[in-house]
Amino acid sequence: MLDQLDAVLDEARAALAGVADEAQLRDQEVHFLGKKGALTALMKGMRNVAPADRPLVGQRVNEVRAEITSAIEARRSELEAARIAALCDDPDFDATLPLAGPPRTRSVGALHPLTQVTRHIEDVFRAMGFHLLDYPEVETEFQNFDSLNIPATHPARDMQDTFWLKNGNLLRTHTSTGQVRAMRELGPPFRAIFPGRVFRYEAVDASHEHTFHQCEGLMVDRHVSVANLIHSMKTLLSNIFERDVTVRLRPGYFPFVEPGFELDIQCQVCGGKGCAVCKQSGWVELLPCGLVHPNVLRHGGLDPDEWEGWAFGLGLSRLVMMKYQIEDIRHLLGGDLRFLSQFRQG
Amino acid sequence: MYISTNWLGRHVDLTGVDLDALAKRFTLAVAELEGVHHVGAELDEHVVVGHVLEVHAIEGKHVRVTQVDTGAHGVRTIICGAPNVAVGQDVVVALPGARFGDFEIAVATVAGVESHGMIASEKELGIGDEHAAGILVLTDAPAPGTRFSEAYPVVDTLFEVDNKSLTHRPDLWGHRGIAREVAALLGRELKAQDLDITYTDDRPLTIRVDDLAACPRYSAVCLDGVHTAPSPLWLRLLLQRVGTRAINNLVDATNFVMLDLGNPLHAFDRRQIAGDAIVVRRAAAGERFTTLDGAEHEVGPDDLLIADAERGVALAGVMGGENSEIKDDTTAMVLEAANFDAATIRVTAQRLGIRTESSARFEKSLDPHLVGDASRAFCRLVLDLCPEARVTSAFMDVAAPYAEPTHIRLPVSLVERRLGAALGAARIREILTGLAFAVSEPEPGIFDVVVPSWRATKDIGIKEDLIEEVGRIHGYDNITPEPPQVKLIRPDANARKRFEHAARAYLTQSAGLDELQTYSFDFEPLLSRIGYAPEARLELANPISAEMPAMRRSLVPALLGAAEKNTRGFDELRFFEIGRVFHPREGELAAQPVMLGGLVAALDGDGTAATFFELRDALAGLAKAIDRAPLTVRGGGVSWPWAHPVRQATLSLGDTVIGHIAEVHPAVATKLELRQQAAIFELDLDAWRQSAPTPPSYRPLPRFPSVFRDFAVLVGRDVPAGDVQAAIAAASPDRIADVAFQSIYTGAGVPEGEKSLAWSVTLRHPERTLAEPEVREVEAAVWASLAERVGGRPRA
Repeated sequence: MLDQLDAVLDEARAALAGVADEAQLRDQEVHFLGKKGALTALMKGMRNVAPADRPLVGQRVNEVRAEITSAIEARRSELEAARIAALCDDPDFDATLPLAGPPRTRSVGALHPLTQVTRHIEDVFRAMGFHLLDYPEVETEFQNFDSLNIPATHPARDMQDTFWLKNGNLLRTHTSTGQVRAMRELGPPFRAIFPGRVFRYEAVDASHEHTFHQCEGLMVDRHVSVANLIHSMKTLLSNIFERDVTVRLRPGYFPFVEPGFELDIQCQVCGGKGCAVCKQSGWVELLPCGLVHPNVLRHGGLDPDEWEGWAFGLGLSRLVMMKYQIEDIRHLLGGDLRFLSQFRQG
Repeated sequence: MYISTNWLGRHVDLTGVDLDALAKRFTLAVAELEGVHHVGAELDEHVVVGHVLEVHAIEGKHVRVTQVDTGAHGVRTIICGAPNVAVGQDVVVALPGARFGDFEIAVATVAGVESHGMIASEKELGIGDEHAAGILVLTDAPAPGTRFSEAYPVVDTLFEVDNKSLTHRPDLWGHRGIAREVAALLGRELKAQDLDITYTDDRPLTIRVDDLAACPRYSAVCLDGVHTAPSPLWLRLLLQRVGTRAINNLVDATNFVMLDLGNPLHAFDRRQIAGDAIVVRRAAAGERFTTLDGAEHEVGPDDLLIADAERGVALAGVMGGENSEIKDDTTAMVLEAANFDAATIRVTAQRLGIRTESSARFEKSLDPHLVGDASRAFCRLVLDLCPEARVTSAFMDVAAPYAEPTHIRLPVSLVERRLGAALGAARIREILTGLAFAVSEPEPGIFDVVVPSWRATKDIGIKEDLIEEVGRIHGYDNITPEPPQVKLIRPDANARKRFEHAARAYLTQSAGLDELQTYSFDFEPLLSRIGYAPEARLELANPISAEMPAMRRSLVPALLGAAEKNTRGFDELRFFEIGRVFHPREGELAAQPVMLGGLVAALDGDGTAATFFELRDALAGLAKAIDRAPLTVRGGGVSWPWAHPVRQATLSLGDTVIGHIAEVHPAVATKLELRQQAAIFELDLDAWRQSAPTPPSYRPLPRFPSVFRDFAVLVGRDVPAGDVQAAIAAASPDRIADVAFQSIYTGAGVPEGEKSLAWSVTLRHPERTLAEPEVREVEAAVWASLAERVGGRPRA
């Protein structure tokens, strides 16, 4: 019996050495260790072993099983290493070798829906003489809060709302960080938008994301009134939605505008009669806006007695979700091609 | 927060006002209403006050038969199952026809007796404690037969205000403040309050405030002869309607005044105030304090305590202490009415995780002047609720000097200009006066506006704030939209964005890649799967999860993650991302270059580096699309842990490396269980953008014919084909118009260690036809150049 066991072990070692790939290895695994394998067959001979010898033989069986198992695993790693090595081996590889013949044509890929909506908005604003600006995502506390007249004790500065960096900087919580930068960069009068990625310390669910997109709009000139703001918003939103929209302003508190507003648009689904989308109110809250606070103008190096302005912050992620009726905001940054490929055009 | 319009009616006459229309105006002028709720309508009809005349048991039944006087509705026989019904009680009777939800009261025979109505419990009326046993017994009832809804504020319209829209309005955290706005909107008067109290000096306390910055005002009044009892129905109803549970008359009175005037109050059991002293002080480090909800907290110097001579008795502005709260047997009490610093209260409430109605209000910066009214309003109410109570102290009041009234100089023309509406001075004055601003006109067209104290704590400080006041009460809907008059300027299309969009357009439309966007955070489990340990990263102080502790330095890990996620669903993967990565810099804002990364994966057909070459050629096409010089591709030089050791190359602009391209290392691909062979690249798009533009340039169309010559070149196996191509092109730049690759061959006829590259070369001269001798001359120059630059020779 013990001899037979040694024979099986030798046989296994020899067989494994000859194995060339994973499929063969699995065959051998079954052959030696499987339910109908060589070792199991040998075990059936146990009843012929003298009772006194059985513990010894049993122990040897276990040892042989363990040795074959580890030999298989060792062979498996060797094979895997060899497979990887083979895949890594390409002595004739030439990164500059041109491809012969005409390039294959590909089906068209999709622009991310955020890009599609952002581009549309950029086109609308550029046509109306707005600069298109772009500002950092990692910002200083000053730029994100102080420059926007947000006081040191404001709850927005808490850890619960803002991603802080260990070096004391932060991830911008709104695109408004660009307001003072734009004033200093362009000088008055000007009008500009700055779309981009913003961050809030927030648990993620179907309607909340810690990373989302906004578009800031800013106009600075000598005379800018609430009547101008309403007109501008109406025009801009009619262009964005490609139809006439009705808007209304409600008081809204944002430290960097005064007066500050929440702008609602009449529900695009029911036309203002009331439906599930607008929670029966006929109105959908769309964006905060207002006349630029004099302290913000001062931070931008402008004299508030001389210059006035309006600003708004449009939620691009929300707008994308509204436009395509996307039910879960997590799709936007989820990297799932089943989602993205639906936005292929042409 | 719920606002009861019945309650508002105590402060402003709402007779004849359409409450739904008022709600809409309120939303447009003051703050968002999340809902308008009409409640208690079912208690309007068929529910009256009754007086119990007789109660008789019915043999063998637990119900009893009663005779109830319902005034004009007669003396009625009503069967009642409540154990507490008794002769002489004033009760609420639901007459036949009354409806409670789906259930309509009708004449019915119960236990053999015809019952003509129902004596109602609080639960059935939907106005009180769900668990209150038995029928509701009225303590202050009018004559039998009086409609219940006439005697008590049961039919109500509630405004549900979005608390977030009130964060900047400390004055709107009570019904009177809301009523002030409503009065202004309606053009009605705010009713005066009767707050006359006679103080004595029988049993005074001492008050000491150690920190007037944290506690700008502290007042106390002592009352003796109080007793706890259930509050009368009107009070319980009002509290219940706005979502506050009635407890007992004294506690209810503090809550009522808070919800009425907006200033939180606290009542102490005087027996528990040691040494007849109140001390407002900072807690000592490590001091322990048990709030009246039974929770023990460790407090410290950041927290303000109300203490007596020996110990803390309340966590200032947040919650009272267990040791001194009003008990059922309380007969003497101390009423605290105080003002606390918003930041101090917020810090404590937040650190200890106790957010109360009180802390929420103090966090808004309340007006210190409110303290006196709140204290007096409480005394008035308690003296009504407990007729035997009396005030046994003076109004004891310690306060920091009050802020001087805020004056704002407001040009009428500025208001009109900023709003874009010609309102006229009279209307502007009317609006401001309606909101209790004092308006004078020291010079023509210029108002001097004095801000009422309750608006001055943080809300109103500059003229723009007043412009908002005028605008919202006037109604923004009443402003005619007007296009801005602006200078014509040359819009400068942001070069970066335009460049990025061109890249996106090419990669999607021509190269067939989908655009994706991923998080700006590294995802650690993925990094460890691909064996990537980035150098210095921008680390978050408060990451959303431990798995995303830092900002990405590369787009590639997330692209590999997307490949991992999508490998099962698609045989071929093609996608790219344009986004910022982050490199910390000492002493300045992190570098945040915009990178372009992409991945192409396809099932491995023939063992060649097909995906690598597809991506490489996509980048060559991209260069044309974005008007930039093509990137130089040089094999090797990639240190990415996910890069194939051989199938890799650096991407350079001149001598500057701006990116890398590589097949994904087979071991990494195995780890990610990719079914496909994948190649990936990443480059610094900003660097490419900043290089010199190479817009298309025009050359006149060739006027002379081209000549084609094929070259089969033998070179060493390790010579890059690109060098061979460059050697041919350089041989005679003005006569060689194009060098096109044909094929590569190794095998029979090609010496060991060499390869044969076949090229088709187009020869042409702009000014003459190339004759045979000149063609031969160019051929010779090509071979000479090949020999010199790459050791090439003709294949025999």
